[in-house]
Amino acid sequence: MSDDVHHLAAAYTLDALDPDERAMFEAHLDDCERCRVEVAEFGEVAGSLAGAAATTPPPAMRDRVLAEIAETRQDRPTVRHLAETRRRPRSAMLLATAAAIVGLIAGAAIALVAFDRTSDSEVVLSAPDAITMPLDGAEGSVRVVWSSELGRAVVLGDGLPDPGADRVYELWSIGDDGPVPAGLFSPDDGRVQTVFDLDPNATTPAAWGITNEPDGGSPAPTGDILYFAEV
Amino acid sequence: MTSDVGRHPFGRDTGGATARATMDDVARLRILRSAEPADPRTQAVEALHAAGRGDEQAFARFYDLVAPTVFGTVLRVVRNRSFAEEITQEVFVELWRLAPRYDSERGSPTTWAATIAHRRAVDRVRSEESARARDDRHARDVPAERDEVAEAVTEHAAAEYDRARVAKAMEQLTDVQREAVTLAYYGGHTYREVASLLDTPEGTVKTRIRDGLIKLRDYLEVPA
Repeated sequence: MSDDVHHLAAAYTLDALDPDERAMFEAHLDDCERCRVEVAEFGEVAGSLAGAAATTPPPAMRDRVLAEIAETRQDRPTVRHLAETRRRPRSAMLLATAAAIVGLIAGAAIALVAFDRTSDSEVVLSAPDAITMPLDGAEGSVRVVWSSELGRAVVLGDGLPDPGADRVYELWSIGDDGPVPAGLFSPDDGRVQTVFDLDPNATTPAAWGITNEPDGGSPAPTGDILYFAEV
Repeated sequence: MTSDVGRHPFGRDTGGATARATMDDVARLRILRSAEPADPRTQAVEALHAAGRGDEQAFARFYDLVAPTVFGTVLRVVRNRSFAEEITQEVFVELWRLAPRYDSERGSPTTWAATIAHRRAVDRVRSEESARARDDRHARDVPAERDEVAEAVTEHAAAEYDRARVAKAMEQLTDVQREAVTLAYYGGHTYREVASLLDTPEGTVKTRIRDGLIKLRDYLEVPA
């Protein structure tokens, strides 16, 4: 059942769920970072599908829209706070107090809650300079998303074989100076989503590779390259 | 590139030349990118942030950047021009209301607008009342419907680029995946409806949609 829920992210993003399923999936999203990441990624795909349908609207619509918004009050920027209270219902009294406090320090509170709900990997994935590379490999799928500005990379994988007892996967950023260790990971049920801080002294990666290494990793690759992509 | 898997291009003797050539490519790409005029995404983010502070002129700039995408998406789903105009106007009022809540870390302004537009279009189509309204209008407009959609397609260069890119990405899908994604997104159908239309089990359709989107994502994500 829970696996079923994870697999609704695509249909959800295309607005292809019944109202009941949509509500169920939205509740699930509050607690599942992996699905939030998928929805964000599939959302960009849907955005491209939308862009491909672009059609010039009638010129008169612009004036109608601008006239109507001139008379429409905007929402207050509190969506994150509402999402939080929905997740953890408390007494009305407490809510009122919380709302008052949030009202007093609105900016800071929103920023904090936003930070709370945006994981490290989501920050990297949505960095303006983020670059995504699908790696070629035999089994499953792996992508590396990295941001030079943040100096961090995320490994996202699905269907990866177990690295074996006392073995781990090691990610290498490969620049002019050869391979530099970027981090170790072990998939959980074939899946991985891990953030790594990149060595600030390493040269800009021209390629990424993944090898299978003994527990604790190696300073230089000892195994075959199982997954690889040139930038 | 696949041929590199299994070999060990890490060694300096074999890997050096390849790496250097790649670094040149990277440098060339950087130069190309920095020479590009102001990126539309940045423009849209700035306009939307200002609109979120109540700036109506900024919202007008935002409108100019995203209106073709919003209107085109709604039109594809509802198929009827006057109904699409009505929904598009509602969508823009909603975007104005929600502008203070837009968070640029969670997606581009165009994607944000398209998400809200598509959701609104399918919800309106699915609600019983508008389904009836659409059928009425649909009946009146049937002869013109196809032509309206075709003629109205925007001629912006950016839209042309998007269309070509998405068409290319769509070629990566199998026929059944493409059919399922198209019926769901452009047709505005739930996956259960798609299953019924194709006389295929629901689980199969769900998987086709998912696999199709994964392929599109992997294809579209790779930097051009």
